[in-house]
Amino acid sequence: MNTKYYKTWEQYLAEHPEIDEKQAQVMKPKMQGYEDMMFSFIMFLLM
Amino acid sequence: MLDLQALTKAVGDLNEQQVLAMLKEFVATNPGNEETVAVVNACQQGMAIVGELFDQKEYFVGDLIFAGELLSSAIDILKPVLGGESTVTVGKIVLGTVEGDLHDIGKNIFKNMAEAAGFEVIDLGIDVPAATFVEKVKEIKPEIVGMSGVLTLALDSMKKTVDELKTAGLRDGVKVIIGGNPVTEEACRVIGADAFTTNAAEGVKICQGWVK
Amino acid sequence: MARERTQLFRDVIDGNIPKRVPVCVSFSIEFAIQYAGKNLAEAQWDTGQLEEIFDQICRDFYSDLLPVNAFRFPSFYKLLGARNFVMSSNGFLQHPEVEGLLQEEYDDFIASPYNCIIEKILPRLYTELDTDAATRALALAKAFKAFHDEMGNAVMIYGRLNQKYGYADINLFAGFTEAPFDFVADQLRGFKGISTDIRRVPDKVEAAVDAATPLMIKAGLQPFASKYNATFIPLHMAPFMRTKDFERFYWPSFKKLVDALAEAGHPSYLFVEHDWMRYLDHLYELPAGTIMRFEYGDPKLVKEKLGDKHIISGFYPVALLKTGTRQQCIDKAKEIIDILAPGGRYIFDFDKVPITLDSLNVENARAVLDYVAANAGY
Repeated sequence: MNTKYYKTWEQYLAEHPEIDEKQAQVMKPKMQGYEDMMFSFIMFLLM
Repeated sequence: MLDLQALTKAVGDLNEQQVLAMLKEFVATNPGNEETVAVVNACQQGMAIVGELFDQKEYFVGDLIFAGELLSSAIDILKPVLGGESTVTVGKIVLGTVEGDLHDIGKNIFKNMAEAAGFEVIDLGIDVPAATFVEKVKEIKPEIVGMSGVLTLALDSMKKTVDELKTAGLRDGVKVIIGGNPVTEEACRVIGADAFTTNAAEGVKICQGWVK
Repeated sequence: MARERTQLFRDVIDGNIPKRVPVCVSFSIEFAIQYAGKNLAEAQWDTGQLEEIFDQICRDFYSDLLPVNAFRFPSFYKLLGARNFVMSSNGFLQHPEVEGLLQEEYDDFIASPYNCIIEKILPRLYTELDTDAATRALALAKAFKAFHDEMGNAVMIYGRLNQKYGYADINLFAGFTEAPFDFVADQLRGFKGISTDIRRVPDKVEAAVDAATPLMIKAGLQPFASKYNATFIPLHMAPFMRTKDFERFYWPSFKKLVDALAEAGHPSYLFVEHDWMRYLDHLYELPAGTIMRFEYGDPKLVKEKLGDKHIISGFYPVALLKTGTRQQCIDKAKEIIDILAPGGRYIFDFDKVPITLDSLNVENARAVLDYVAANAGY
């Protein structure tokens, strides 16, 4: 999407090498979920 | 001298570049008043073509909006050479979107086209209470009052406005036209307006008929 | 009851002939509040009242799908200081003409639409986001919370009403997005702005619409793919453009959007607003099974051109419900059903959502809905 305001989980993970694999598994749906919720909200504000 | 027919055609085609180029060239020749009036007239004829093409479904609402923009850029260019007294107003219209309604696209199209046809339009904006219409009619003494609205509830506000004009003893001195999605012949009758339209170009024609 | 109703819609979506024409009408939140005799502004703020309000619509108007669907509430718009959704003096949430993006900012938008939205467009349309960084962060947090509270409340209400009234278990509003051109036109450039832009800076408009397309696709995706849950796309600008402008600026990105959603397993539910009769051949090109609710036009022509590929809905004139006699209203329903029902792929609906209580005669509306439910069998 070429923006600094939305990060995919892969982008986030690349910036946070301290997160181990096991933790990453449980973090992913939550972190990605909130990222997407904010995206949907922002877009809704313009529709 | 500017080719007036070509100018009319360029306005009708909404060919902005050509229109503006022609007008700039014209203004550079330091034209007299009479010539300038003829040029304004040619632009107005071009706008009439735009209205006709809209009726024929060659143009659509977006094109009418652009036509209004084009015309105001044209007038901006002509302003320096337009003498004060040369702009003949054919009549005055007090115009607004009625109380409770915030839509202004239809109103603005009508305003642009009415101005193009030589009317002086006093635009009261949106969500305009009946009292403001009454006050302005008193102050300006227009020939015509135009009320616009998109929501069905706008019809109630239109009726209220006409009623208050009556109460203030102003109703007989003006013609009232209503416009917008919800207006119908029946609504027009109930409201006590003189005419209704859902088509800005047609609305302007009705107004022209009134001031002739 | 719910199972039978669900089957009606599944049959329509699967291209089978259902037992009866399914009925899917909906009323605006304003209509529902007025019908319940409540105050418009109060009930839209105090959304705890909505269950009782919506319940009265469900109780009195026949539909096979939940007949209310509200998703704009004043709380979050007010918290953000919205200029694009404003409650007017009489309690109607209206959408004044706004310009979120200036003409000279096209290049910024094209380079990164989402950056431009966050940095420039939102602060222009939402005054509380046009503040210092900390105030802005807090304003957005409050609004985000309010948004999810309101939506959560609404979804709970819808769930309970679905249960109570046994509505079909399909969702035509499972996602929401807009045609990319409409997105750029409606709140970014405005009607006037876009109408001048397509003549003054056409290349930029085209590039901006293309740049917006991936965002609109993402916005329209649902968490799970199901052919029985659609993404709602209300269409706006096309009827106000010349066909050649439509073909350049509107259609390609819109088609791309609907195709991408279909590929991801989401059918689109289009509100085909105003007059699209010039564009029926274009609509035909959309993925099979796209649901199209028409506001205006010739139902015969639409059935003939689109009826074998898409699902047609709408056309029933709400205006007649106000002015016609009971018999005229029922005859009109019969006329439209006779045209659109043969062969299936048809859902009964009005041409537009009744916005205010006085936009129709309640008795006529009930008579028509009851008539369709009782008589539109195959």
